[in-house]
Amino acid sequence: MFERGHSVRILISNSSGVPIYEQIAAQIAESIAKGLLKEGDALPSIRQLAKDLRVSVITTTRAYNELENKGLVTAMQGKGYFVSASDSNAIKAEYLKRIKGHLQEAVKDAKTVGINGAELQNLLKILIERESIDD
Amino acid sequence: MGALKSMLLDLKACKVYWKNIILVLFVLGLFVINMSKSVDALFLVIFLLFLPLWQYPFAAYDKCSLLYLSLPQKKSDIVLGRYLLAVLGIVFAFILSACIGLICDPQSVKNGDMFLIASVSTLFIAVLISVQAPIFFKFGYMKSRIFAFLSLGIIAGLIGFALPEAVVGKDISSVMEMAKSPLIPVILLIISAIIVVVSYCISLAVFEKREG
Amino acid sequence: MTDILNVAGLTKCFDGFTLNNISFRLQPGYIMGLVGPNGSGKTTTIKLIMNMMKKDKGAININGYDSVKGEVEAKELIGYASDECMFVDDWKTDDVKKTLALYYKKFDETQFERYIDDFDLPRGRKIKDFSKGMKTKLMLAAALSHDTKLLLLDEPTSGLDPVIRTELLDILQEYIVRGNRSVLFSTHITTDLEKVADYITFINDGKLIFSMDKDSVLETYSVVKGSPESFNSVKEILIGCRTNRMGFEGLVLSENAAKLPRDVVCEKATLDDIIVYHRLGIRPWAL
Repeated sequence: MFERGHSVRILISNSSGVPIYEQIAAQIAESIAKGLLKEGDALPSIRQLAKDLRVSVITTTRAYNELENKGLVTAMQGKGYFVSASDSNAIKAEYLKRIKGHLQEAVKDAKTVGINGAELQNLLKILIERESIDD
Repeated sequence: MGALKSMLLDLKACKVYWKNIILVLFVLGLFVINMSKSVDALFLVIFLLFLPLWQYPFAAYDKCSLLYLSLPQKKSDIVLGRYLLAVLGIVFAFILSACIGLICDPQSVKNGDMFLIASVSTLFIAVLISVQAPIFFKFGYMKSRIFAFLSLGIIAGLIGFALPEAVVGKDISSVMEMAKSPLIPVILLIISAIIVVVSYCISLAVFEKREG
Repeated sequence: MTDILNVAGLTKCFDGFTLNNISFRLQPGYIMGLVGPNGSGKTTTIKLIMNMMKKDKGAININGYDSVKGEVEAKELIGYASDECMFVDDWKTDDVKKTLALYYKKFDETQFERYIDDFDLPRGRKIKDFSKGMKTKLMLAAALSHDTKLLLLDEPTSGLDPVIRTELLDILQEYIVRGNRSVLFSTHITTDLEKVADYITFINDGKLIFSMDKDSVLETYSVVKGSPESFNSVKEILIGCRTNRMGFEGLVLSENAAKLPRDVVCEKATLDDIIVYHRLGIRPWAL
């Protein structure tokens, strides 16, 4: 019923300033949001992940705890961590919050140097186009 | 048993000295060819073979004490092992010299002289190792080398000179008569055993207290 | 679960130096780094755990066995390696194998031979002709080939190149992967610890400064930098500092960061910073 030993791709940056456990949690969350990890998939064990990523066990434990708190994964006693039933609305809401924050920053910065609303919207259009070309 | 393991470790740790032993046996062989008296044989084996051998495990320990102390054993095992090794060494030395004595001077074994001489030299060795061991255990071999040499000289001197001195002036014939008694060797061996046991207790206490 | 290592109130007095009341615990499945400047008491602590020195006060338990009363059982469970090669110079790997087989109840000869091969150690050569890196690998091979609960390493990588050090970190992580045994690893090379250590115990001048998880350590302290003029307002909260004509640089507790004046820069501390500034203390201003 549960798939074992899924290969989870995580890349850690030591110099990004973001705590490592946050990076791990964010990247796993992203994989779940994109559908790369599906409900019921098994995450690597805390210790195996620590070994593969060359980080401490406490770091990976913290990452998994974060994910569990957010409801994205569930711990099964003796078996490990598995991806929870995804509430796609909840994930979307989480991402929407982040987008709002980013946009708010952009609006503030634009105001600071006097870039008007039309210029900003145009910039957004260009960026969206560029992103869809990359896909 | 812990002490047995320690003895085996001592023997293994002395690997580098085995060459010396072969050399000594060779030299011994050369002397034996020229020997006529069994007493000489006995003391030769003791001085050339046993005394250096007795010190080798201590010399080896100096260089690899970390090994001895990190392996699962107690310090008391190390001390007991070393004393047992010494006792084995004495036994081996005597068997060897008895053999040599038989080859050179068959008479002495039969007329009981050999037994008396053997017990006197046992006492001699017992005193020597009993005095040296606690010092080796406390200070290590390197720092105690001078002491080891001195103690050998003093004890040899005591037996070589002091004993005859004590005998001179007394009625020699009665002493010789007494010496013929079969009880003397036994008494000497018992005294040797007591001295070694006392030394063992001192070594144990001293080595336990020592750092590393 | 029993602690793999439990040190309580450990005290040892020497002439001119005292290891004072050290207490920390290490649970199964973790790597603990033991750090501190030279002479701070790291090696003494490790030697006391191995009962190579006599403690004056305190208790040390290895997986429930007292380090003195249960010395033999405790040492069965400890894989020990230090920066001094403890094997006899004249031995070869085979002699090491035979000695280990003689002493350890659960010594795996095949495992030992496998490590000798993996580490590329020459079987026909005497140990005195090994390089330092080879000697360290030999000690590790020995430590890893019997059934242990604690890997106790006393600066095994001092003087070794980064390649070997990285290999060692892999080995340590592999060692704890099942979660039932732990590593206590004393080292100067804090970058290694910053990657894989779960806990850090810091001893400075014989005293325990902290023993906690690595992330908390790096959050607890911050490095501050400022001009000479700001120094006086920061002096009180500085744990240690360095000063020169350009200004000062020092260590504070992160919780005190709120008290800093605006013109003082505050940034994350590395393990090295924490160790160095504790060692330096407050130096009078060099004018």
